[in-house]
Amino acid sequence: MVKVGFVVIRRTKQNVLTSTPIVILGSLVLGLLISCVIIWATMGIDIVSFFGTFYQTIVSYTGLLEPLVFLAIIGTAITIGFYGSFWNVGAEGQYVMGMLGAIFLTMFSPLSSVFTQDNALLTALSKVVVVVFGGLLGAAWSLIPGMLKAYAKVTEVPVLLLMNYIAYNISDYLTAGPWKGRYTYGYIRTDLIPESARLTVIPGLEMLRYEVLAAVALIIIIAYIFLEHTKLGLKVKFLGTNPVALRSSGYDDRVITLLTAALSGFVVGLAGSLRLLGYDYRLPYNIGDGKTGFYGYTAILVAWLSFRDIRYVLASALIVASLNSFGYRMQMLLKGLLPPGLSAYAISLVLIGVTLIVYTIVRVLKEYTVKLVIKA
Amino acid sequence: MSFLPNHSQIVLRVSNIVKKFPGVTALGGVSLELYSGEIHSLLGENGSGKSTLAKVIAGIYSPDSGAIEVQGKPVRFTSPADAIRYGIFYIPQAPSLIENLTVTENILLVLKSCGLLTKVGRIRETIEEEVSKLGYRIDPDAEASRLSYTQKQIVELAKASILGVKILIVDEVTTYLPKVVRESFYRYMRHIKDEGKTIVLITHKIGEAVDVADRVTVLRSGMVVRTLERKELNADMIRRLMFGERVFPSRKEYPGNSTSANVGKEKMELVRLDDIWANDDTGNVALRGVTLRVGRGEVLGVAGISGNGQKELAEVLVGLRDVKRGHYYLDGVEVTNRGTKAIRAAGVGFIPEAPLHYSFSGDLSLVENVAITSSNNFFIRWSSLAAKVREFVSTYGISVASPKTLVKVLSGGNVMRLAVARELELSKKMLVAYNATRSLDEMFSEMFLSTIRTLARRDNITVVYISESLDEVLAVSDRIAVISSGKIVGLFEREGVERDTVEKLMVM
Repeated sequence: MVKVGFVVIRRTKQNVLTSTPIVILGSLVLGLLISCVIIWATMGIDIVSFFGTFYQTIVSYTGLLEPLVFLAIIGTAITIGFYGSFWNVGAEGQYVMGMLGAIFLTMFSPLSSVFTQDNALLTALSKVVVVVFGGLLGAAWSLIPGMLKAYAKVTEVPVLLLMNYIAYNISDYLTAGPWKGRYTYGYIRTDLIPESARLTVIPGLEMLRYEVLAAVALIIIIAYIFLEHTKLGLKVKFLGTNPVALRSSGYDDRVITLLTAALSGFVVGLAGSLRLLGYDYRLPYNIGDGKTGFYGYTAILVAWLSFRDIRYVLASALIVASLNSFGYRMQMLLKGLLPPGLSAYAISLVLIGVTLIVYTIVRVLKEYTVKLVIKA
Repeated sequence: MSFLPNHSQIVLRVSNIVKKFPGVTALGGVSLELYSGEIHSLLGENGSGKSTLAKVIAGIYSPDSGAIEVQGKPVRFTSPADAIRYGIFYIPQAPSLIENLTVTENILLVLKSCGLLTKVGRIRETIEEEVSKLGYRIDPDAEASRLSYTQKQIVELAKASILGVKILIVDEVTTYLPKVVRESFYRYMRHIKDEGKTIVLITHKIGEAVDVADRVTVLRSGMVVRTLERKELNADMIRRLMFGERVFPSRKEYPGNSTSANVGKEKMELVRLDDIWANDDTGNVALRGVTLRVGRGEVLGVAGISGNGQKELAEVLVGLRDVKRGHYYLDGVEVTNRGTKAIRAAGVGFIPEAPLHYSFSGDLSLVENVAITSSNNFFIRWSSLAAKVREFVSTYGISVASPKTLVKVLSGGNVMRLAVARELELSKKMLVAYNATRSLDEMFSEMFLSTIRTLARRDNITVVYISESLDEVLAVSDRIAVISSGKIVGLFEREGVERDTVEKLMVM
């Protein structure tokens, strides 16, 4: 009788092939190859047009920049949560709350009058206030599941997911009700925020804003310093790896849980308010219908791809952003070739899904050697 | 008496086993032969490679190189189940039963994973039969979480027997058992030895090895120093083989032991427990009205058989467990149910038996695990902490590659040393130790006990020394409290206390 089995041994030494950047890049290449085979087999797209399109996606990098910055911010936020075992799958809702915060302050609060005056300094300061307020709303939104987790031992994941839909509905209620715009050509949506409240477009890089670029850099650097060089960041890491040790060291794990939830939600909220001030300028109706770009969900992949390591968030965001854009380009290429019933967005999902499956497998191989043993 | 029978043969041979972990060579080419019908003791200090060797033999670790032969046939184990099929069974220091399964289910699980299926009704009788051979009764339908440490280890022994064990490896299992229970373990071992089976007894207690082993193999730094026959066994020589020529204090030299510095002196009270009631993890009452006073600079030993509320008492003392009733005052301030913060801030150190559960995050580095209890400045000064870790490493003889090494790759003894190093420094007013020496070798244990006496005498630090080792409690304490079923059933001054009296109270 032939017996087949696997010997799985934890790697004690890492080599070049198992270094994190190679693992991430290798997974991308392998994932693309497999996706190519799937799309070729089902829709008859040849390898040349497949990789040709991918090449164009990368070369015309301007299209990548906008998803990149938002995925980087939200990915960082979720990674902070992951460090403290707060599985923030509610970024989508916190993102919407950030948008609501921004539109409220710029249009429906006393602060809105600042944007009609011609005071550059005051306007600039007010923009900071608006962005931070969006962050605070995101933090508040994330604190609800955080409190339930810390004080009632309710698993945060389902609560966070449900909170996304509550956020969508609050947004739709306001957009169609109290905040409904007057100058909308009959559409249900809010009016545009004042021009002076909007972020500054970078000449030549129309998809970027100075303020957003500064925010991405600041957020990533501060998050890194927070996690690697502060006592509070260390407490978050203990919470994520051994909460009992955190408690016995003299800290209240419940407080740190709240802190982790709030921080993660805060950073997502920042992304929401930046998005509104810099790109959308208004809230649409049916916001849950893809109008957020689903960045809150897609960024979970960024956090997952970065090995729960803050240093790789930017690279992971780049990969996910390029797959995302690649998917959109493929949709155009595949127009008319799609099997009936399959939406064009499915292409993006195939690309991202395949790459992440490959990545998940490679990741195991990074940590363990697997040998096939055949005994006669 | 126990010379090897003439017909005994080699049942297992390992040759040139090498096993490396990051930064540490655990086994550097170990060869060993085991005979049928022998009790073979593996002795060595912490980190000498005893457990690693045992785990290689039991299929838990795969060696980097080297060969294993069972009955002269080369084998390659890819899992513990493989080893079990060859009759090799390993009982770890920490029982490996699944807590929310019953005794029967636990045993069936192993049988099934090894492809040996049995009817449930039959297995229940078999379990009762095997357990009674050890002189115990355990309900086969009881959940494992309800069993005491001793009972769990008895279930492990029964499991081994049901699996048809030929080579039984027991890793530090007997270390903390009360004498009566230990004796019944030894009787059982001799009994199965007479049936031609092999027992590998891993221990760092030299006396134990000398008492029961037929042969002793001493390991040091991952190498076999020597294998001794029964007639050569001699505690002093073994000690030299284990530790080399290093010296360590003998118990008589503990500071304060001979001077009776505290007799007749009223001590200022530091800890006051008034009628403390607390539950265990499963919600059953574990402490039933514990009232204790501990003075400054006093060493209070708490003796008892495992599972009588010691763990909960330790947790209450450091604030990890809420009490249901009663009051806890520390240095005149009530800290009842105020969590760990107030207690730690008052200068209380805690050395538990399972530091990877209580004290450290295995996924983080040594320096991070030291940083978590260091000063509460907003920014961490890694360089000064790394220097502190290096100091710990050299002072306490921790084998580790760098301060950035993850704690989970350290051996059990090294993790414990790190806990001792970190917590002694935090013990400004009090130290709570709970089975602290369980995974420490003899030399380090002695050093540790001696340090505790020094702390109490010189620095006036209070020590609550909770241990299942009565020997240690007797050696180190000023007063001895005996705990049984969550109650303090006896309180003795160290002078003139009778060991028998304490033991009787422990099993009461």
